[in-house]
Amino acid sequence: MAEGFNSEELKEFTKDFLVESRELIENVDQELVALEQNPSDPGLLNSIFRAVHTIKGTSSFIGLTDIFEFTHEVESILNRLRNAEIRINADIMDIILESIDLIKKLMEKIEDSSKPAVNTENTIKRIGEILRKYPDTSPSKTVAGLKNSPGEKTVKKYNSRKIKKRGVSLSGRFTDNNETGVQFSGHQESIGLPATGKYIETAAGTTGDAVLQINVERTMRIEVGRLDSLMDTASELVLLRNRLVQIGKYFEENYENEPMVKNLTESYSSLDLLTSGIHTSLMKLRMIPINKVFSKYPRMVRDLSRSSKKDISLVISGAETELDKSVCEELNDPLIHLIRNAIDHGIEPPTERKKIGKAAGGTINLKAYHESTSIVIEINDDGRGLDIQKIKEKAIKNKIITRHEADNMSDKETMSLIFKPGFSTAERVTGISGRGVGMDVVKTNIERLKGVVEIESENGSGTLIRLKLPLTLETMHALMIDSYGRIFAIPLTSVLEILSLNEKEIKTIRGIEVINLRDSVLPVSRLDKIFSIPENDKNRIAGRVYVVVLGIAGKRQGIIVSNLIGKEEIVIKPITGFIKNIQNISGATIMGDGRVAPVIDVPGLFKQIIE
Amino acid sequence: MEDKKTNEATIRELVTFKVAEEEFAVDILKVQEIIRMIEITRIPRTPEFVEGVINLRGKVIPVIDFRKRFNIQGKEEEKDTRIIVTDIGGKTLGFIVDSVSEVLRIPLSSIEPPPPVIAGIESEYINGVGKLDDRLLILINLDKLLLENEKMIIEKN
Repeated sequence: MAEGFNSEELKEFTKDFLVESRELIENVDQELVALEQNPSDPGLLNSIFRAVHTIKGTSSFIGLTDIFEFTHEVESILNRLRNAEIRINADIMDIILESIDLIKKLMEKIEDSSKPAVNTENTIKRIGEILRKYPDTSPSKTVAGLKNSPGEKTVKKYNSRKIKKRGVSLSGRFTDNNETGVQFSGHQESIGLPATGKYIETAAGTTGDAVLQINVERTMRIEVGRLDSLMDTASELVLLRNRLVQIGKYFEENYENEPMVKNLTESYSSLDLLTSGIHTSLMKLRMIPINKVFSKYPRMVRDLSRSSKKDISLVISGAETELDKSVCEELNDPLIHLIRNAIDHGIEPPTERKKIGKAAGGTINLKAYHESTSIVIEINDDGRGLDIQKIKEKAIKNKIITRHEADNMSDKETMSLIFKPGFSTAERVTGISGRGVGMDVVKTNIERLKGVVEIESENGSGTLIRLKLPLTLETMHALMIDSYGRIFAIPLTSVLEILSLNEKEIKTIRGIEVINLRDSVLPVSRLDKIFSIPENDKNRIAGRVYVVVLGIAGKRQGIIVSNLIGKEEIVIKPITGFIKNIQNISGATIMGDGRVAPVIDVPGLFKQIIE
Repeated sequence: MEDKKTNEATIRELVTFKVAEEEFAVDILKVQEIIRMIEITRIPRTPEFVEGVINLRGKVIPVIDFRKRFNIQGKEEEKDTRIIVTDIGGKTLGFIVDSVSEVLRIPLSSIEPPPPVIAGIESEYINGVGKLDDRLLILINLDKLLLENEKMIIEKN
């Protein structure tokens, strides 16, 4: 057991350990996949070694004997690799990957003791066999030093031991640095920042204690809950600022000559700027690079392409693209599903690919980039693409559409059928995907994040799935509209265009109101009818209406409103208390004048109109 | 010390309010605040008694009309009309009443079980009837009210 800590401290340390180690392991997963391509890259080997070493060090420090003992074994094999005493091969790679998975399991067990016990014996035995198979010709100081001091567990000794080893292991790279500088660089890497020369310089020449302080200053872990409550307060500040500006404007107009009014104007202008500044900074605090989720996929693709006997490489670009943490977390499941789909259904087996003149190896491109206030994520495979005819047959068989409907469907509409519940084109159910609960779940998840899914595909040459999401869920751009005196907000991501037309231009075909939009027929619905708003003369221009054209998943629908108010950046507030589950309304927003406007849930609205 | 404990166990503090000519009461611990009428935004697809939502210092809170909820003929909105904002298990809900009277401490012994129907309100929404001198206080069961409201909204959707 770890000595000298009370149980509170130990709990805190363990929590920190798990958070940090998880990040380290995620990086290692990625680095291992890269290592397969460059088996002798010393940078990668060192980085993997350091990550495992840090986990080992910390686990011994807080008395997690299981992890300590196991990582110690793993470390010995990594150390040989790093010192170029042995070379990586399939045997060694497999055992390392297996070990990393076991470390994950050990950590899960700490978090949730109800999980089954983790058996490391077999793996330890096999590590031993490998070490014997490739004999150790020049035992490194690191391993020797460690063997001599297995029992040290006090803070001071732990630190000095760790530093000493780092000094040895990295002395070739940072000859001028003292030991603490080297440790600092290791720590920076462990939290995912590049260990640049700059950081090392900063730490060089300082004492061990000072180094710790610098770490704390540069990055700090903050509980998300605290950040959220700060965000709430800042949102309220924004609203208060909006009101104050309105009041200020009133005085400006009516008491122009009053000297205090000038002061007032100056004060609220500064307040305006400062508030915007605070709000923007806070939003930035919540932004993280999408690499946080992307980094999990290279390993996944590697494992899946092995098990499906396909040769697939994943090419990631734009991993540094930032988005809100909450959006990022929600993206993981849909992305996993889309990538699995691409591997399982998209990319053909190598023999089939060769037959049609494609390269034996398939490629999945995963790309992220910003587009105005949205983030776009594309998953593009060079596989077989979507077979329109097959989709139609399947949809008819699963009673999603009738044959008559199928005959009149455009390709784009047909493709969007794969998002329907109960649709799965896989001819057989595999472990990777194809349980028929796939794409509709992806779509629902993305729509919950106020995003849209698009699909492009050409039979034989691949599929492109494009997800477009708002950068943050805290604020969104909305179109404010008026329906008989009631104001609503519509998320701008679903608005395609706005038309102003005469009431007479609305025609009726088989009981459905439609308009003619550039030679195509667009069905329209009246918002006041959908929401049962009583008719009155409020804010109406006689004979004139506005049609907001909404689009999701290839479908278009016009919504008739009495007036437009404008575009606004809104903060969506949940309707607290007992009102939830209201179809069509996803929340409410508070406008500049303090009034509340409901926010329309576009997918819900579409659903209701179809019904 | 001992005295105070028995007091707490036998005394209940209530906020009393009037709707039509009846006097009602709710447990003070469930009342967050009492505010004057402010602008209420209607929300589509909610039952008639859901008046809408209000902006309470940056939070959006639903408001129901106590009178419509129980089909009581109340007064038109006037200067005494108030919204009682309650907090029930973290859920905030406001309800409109004709007027708020006072905060009362009454001994548990003077609270009697509810009759089957009183002032048009079914007994399931009533915790009891408080008798105080010549006054009759109907103690509203907020938890039950909240639960039923949720059900009615889900049914409507």
